[in-house]
Amino acid sequence: MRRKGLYRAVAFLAAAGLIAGACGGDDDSAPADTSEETSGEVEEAAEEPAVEAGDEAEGDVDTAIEEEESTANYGGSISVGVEAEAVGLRPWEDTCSSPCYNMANAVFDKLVEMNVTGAYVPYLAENLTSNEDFTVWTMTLRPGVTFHNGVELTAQSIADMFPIQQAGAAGSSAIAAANLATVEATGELEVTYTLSEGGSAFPASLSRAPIGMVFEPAAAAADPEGFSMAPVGTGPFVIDSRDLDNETTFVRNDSYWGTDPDGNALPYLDSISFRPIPDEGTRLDALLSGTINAMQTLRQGTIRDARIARDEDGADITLYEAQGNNVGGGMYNVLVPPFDDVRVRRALTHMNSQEQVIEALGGTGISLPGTQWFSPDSPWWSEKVAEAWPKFDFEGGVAILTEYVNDPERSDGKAVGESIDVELSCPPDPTLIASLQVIEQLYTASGLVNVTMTNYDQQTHIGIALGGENGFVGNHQQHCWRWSSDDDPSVNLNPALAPPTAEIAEAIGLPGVVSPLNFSNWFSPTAFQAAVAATKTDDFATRYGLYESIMLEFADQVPVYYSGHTATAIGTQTNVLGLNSWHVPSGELGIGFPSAEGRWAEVFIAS
Amino acid sequence: MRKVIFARLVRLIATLLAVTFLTFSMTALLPGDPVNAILGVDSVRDPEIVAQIRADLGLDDPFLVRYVNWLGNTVTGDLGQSYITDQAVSSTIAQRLPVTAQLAFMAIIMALILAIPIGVLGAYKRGKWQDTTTSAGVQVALSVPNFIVGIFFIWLFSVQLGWLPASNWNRISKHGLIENLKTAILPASALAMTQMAIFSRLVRSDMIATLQENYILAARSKGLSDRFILIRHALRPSSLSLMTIVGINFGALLGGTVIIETLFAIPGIGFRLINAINQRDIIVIQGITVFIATAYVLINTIVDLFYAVIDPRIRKA
Repeated sequence: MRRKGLYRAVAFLAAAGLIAGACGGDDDSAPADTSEETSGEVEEAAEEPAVEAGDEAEGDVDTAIEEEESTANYGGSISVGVEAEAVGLRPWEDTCSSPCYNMANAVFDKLVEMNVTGAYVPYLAENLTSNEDFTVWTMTLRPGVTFHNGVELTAQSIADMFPIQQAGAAGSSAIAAANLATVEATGELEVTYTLSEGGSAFPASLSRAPIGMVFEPAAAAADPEGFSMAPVGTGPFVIDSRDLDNETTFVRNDSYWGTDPDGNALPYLDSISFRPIPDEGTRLDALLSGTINAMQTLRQGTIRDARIARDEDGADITLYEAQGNNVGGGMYNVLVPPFDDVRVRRALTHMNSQEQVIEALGGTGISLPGTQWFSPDSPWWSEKVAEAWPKFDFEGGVAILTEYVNDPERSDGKAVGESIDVELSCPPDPTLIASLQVIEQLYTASGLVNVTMTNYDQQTHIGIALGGENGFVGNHQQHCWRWSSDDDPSVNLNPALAPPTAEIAEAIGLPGVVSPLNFSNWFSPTAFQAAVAATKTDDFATRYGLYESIMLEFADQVPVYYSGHTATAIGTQTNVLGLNSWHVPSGELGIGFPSAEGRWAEVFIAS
Repeated sequence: MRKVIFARLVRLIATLLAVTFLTFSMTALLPGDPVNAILGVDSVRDPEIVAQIRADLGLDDPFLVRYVNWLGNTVTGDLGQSYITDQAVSSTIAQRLPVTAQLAFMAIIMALILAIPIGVLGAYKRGKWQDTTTSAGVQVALSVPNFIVGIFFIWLFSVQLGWLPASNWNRISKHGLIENLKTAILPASALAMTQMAIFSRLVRSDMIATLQENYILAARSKGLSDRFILIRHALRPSSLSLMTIVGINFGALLGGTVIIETLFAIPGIGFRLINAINQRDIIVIQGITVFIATAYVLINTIVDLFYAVIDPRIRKA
């Protein structure tokens, strides 16, 4: 057998019923901020990147984003296996994760997309500019675009979407995070967004589902529940049928506005269907057997199996791999002794072998070790930070911990020489448990740590870290978590750096500026100021320097630790092409397929 | 007979009450706040929204009040509405029941087709190599979990031979019967293996006992053929207990296809239940669990009554 069948069976049994996705999940919050600064077009947001996204870093496992050389064909249908059913296809209401984005990208267009350099550029919008303090953003829509039901897209459509988004679970959160106050139609195709607090990262909000995906507001208002089964957007495909948990089929939108760089009408395919196949092994088998034509995975174990099938068994598949900013690892609750002492955090991080943990997670050779919130592919990645991050040094870690343990003033109140207590906690995913065991063995081997391991389901795991009942301090100690995303850095960093409790906010003179999403509870005025300052400028070099300074402070204070970056992939049969060469309307290449989110308009079947 | 029916119905109601109470209690005891499941980490952003959702769902009411309200709705057929997908639980079950029922039905039929000849052969050739071989095979089928069998079937029939699809479900209404059977045969076969083992062991042991009966000796002494004796005189009386266990196992399979449905990505009741558990969609978990338990208890009761109808000894007991 190609795979270790028994191993898979045991893993399946253990994992049945568990979502093993990210522990943390993305969030879209932005901090309260106060100051001024420059204006500029969105395209300029990432000029002069230090490292261009898609460049090959050392040890990189990515697929390059490049122009497709084969001539595209029209026609044909493909079936795509996704890891789960989309909770719903209502951008304003339903939480959209990777499988959902694959489907939603077929039926909806976003106002803004990310290009190959990682810059946010207009997509369904034609132009997007801001005033000097980033509080007012003016967007011009692309002319001649119609929704699938024939209604014309106008500025009023965007304005009419706003109250629906405000009432939606996903939309209201995104609106609050973006500090979006009003959306007005100020012309036939001109929309004006007004923010209560200016932010240069606002275009990032327009690139995600809750307020960035454009839906037909009248259809949504007429039947909000039914809209999930029959979504109406402006995207390259039109909904044909939706059989929940089985198959969702979209057919070609003959009136689609988009064209390829040669001016050929898109999309190329006649139809595309999405089939949720939760079992990773079955999904891969379905691709290998031709049951489906493409599949997504966010699991490095599946990428490894797919590589073996391709390289050793000669399977006719192509793997489009991506190394996301999203990085595994965890956090220390710095408000709980002994983690309030940086010596303990630093020691435990030194004693934690990234290499062994990644191996336990099945990611050796697939997942790059993390040193910061950006992968080496990201324009925000910093070599300086990579060098500063505390590497595995067991003896060094033991020495630092010994110093703490023998300190008469040690923060946990224990007697000199007594071991510290550490509760390690992860959701009960088999690979996460294996990685916990690696850490537990290393810590225990030091003779200085009493380790307790706990596993709670994902919702409980998150709830423990949130700690709503104790002023958001949380009840965690050393807690598995995932950090970052491929969004603008401010989206994830700012809420993670804001004051974690009302007391801290009060103490620094920012009453009311509290972020429950600062899960590690680590607060640094300098890091927070840097994060806020980064939302007040769209100059890439300035922003890069600010984020680098934050990451350097992380390397020094170690509120969080890392395992490896998240490797994701879309696998296709070799005759399914175009996934890595979709374009934004300006003709530039798009960002590709981060987080295994495909854009399907330029996908075709080779003859 | 009326007394029997009445007694069974009283037992049925008591069992269902216990099942609903246990189901509700266990889902209520699950750690974590359902509101977090709905809103995710964003639930911390707006306490008013959280409070509103809690009020809408009655989460702030005392446990017994919530149970009685929920039970009242359940007995009128209102199993509630998913607060993740906004779909009515009853319509969710109605959409998925035919899929699970078809799988269970096919598994039972396939199991019977294999089990009866194997059981009869084992009984007729008791102690001989045919018996030991089939018994060993049956033991293996009983020991290997059906999801292992499923994984093996996918590898063999889909990946290696390319004969059948590895996953998903082609609905008859959209794809036709043949395409439907192509997607049903592997999961049904995986489910059938354990059932086949159970049935064949039952048939074998029952027939061994039957074959000791005097009327079988009499039939043999009359010179009737072995095949005639086995089928006409031995299998028929043995089939009573087989039919009982078939009925009970069909009920059990309605809730027992969870892993196979998840493995093969089949949109049945079990698959939906797993998704609901993952999403902490408590209304759906409660609704489906109660439905499965009710179906199981009902089928058991029907089998009991059927047994009583055809066997006077039970009726009088």
